[in-house]
Amino acid sequence: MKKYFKQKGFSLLPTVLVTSIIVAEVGIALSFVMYMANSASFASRLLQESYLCAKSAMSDAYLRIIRNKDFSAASGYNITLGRCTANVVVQKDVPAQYATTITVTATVLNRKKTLQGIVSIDPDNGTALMYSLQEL
Amino acid sequence: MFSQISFFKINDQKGQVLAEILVAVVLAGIIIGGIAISTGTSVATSSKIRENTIATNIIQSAVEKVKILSEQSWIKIYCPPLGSCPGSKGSSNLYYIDDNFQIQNGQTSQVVDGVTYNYYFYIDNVNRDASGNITTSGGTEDPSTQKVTVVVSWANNSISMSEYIMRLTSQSIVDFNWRPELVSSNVFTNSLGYYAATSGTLLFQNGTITLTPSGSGSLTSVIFDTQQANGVAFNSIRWKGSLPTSSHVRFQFASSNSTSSFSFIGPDGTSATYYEAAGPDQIIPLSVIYHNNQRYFQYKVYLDPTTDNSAAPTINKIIINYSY
Repeated sequence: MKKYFKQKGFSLLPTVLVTSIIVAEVGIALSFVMYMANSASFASRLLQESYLCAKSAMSDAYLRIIRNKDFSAASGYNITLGRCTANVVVQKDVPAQYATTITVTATVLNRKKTLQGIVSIDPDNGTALMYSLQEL
Repeated sequence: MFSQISFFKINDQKGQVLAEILVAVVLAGIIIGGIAISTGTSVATSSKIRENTIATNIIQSAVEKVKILSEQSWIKIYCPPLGSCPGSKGSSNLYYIDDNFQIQNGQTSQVVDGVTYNYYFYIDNVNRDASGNITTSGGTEDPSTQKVTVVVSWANNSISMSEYIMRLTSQSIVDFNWRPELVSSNVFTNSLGYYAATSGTLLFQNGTITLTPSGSGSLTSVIFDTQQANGVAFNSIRWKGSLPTSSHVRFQFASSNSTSSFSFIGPDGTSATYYEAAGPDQIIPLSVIYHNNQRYFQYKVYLDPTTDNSAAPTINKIIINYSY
């Protein structure tokens, strides 16, 4: 009689505790997964912002080349768009003569997007055409 | 006695079981309650993640539409909503692009997974400093650069993103091979050696223009037609030839949307100033703000000999670059 009561009482508590721990573990795992998903979603938004920013900076450099076929900024310059900053490097005659390479690195918080474009330039009439644009 | 002790022990054991049950229930309540809250938050977060992703996609789509429209007709973006300048810009003028690719006033909506997303865009002018850098204060308006901001809102949430949109076509008209007998007041789409007028001691030599060095002279070009009904932005002027030390080659530029109204002006927009490069084959940026959204143009080139009147510049090509 004594043993029966003792066993009954002690079997319920561990069962509840173990079950609770398992449920807690699942809950914590779920919360962690949701946190990661939330972070990924935020990162996706930041990447979208940095992409628009990088495209803006690419367009800026391209417009400057259209206006001045000799435009070059080997040491780079910055463009700010909202909370994004894009660094633009323009290298004349790279990768070949009458071509200019534009490399843009846009940063929003800790997210970066890098684009590289190559513009061909007609040395006679000065017209420019972007014939290559890729994400690095 | 034994049974009494046993009785008390049994009672004592019963009490422990009850306490353990109570402790277990309380513990379970606390833990499961916390998990329930956590799960509820997770579900809500999941929904928010999905909505944010959809909103971001809507922004991307809206920006691309604006960009496509700007490539089709820059003036519709520069002077929204109808392409009649100056148009209405700023965050109080909301637009969207309809299914016919026309800019409409107000905002539009899109329903995805039962959630209604309202979205619109607005356009701001962009200024540049003297070095050509985009600036948020001061500087001069660049009519070939616009800032487009797309705003998406749903429930109690809102996201906005911006992009600089620019006029990125590149065209040129090259004028050369002038002939003294080819005087014309007609409109040309390319160079055929014609000019409209000359003055002073200007000379033609084998298709080039130069001077009798005893004095100065000028040449006025024919009217050129870029054939862009909505006009273009004239970017730069450049000439090829030779420039003896102390001689000068200067330009004034005129642009118009009719073939009968031209005013030759310099960098400050008046007839008192001139565009001048240090030498041949150097880019002379035009003040785009004075030559924006115009279809026709003429230039006037002024040649001055050296200070001792011993030599004169020679021009064999004049190149005008523009974007539409």
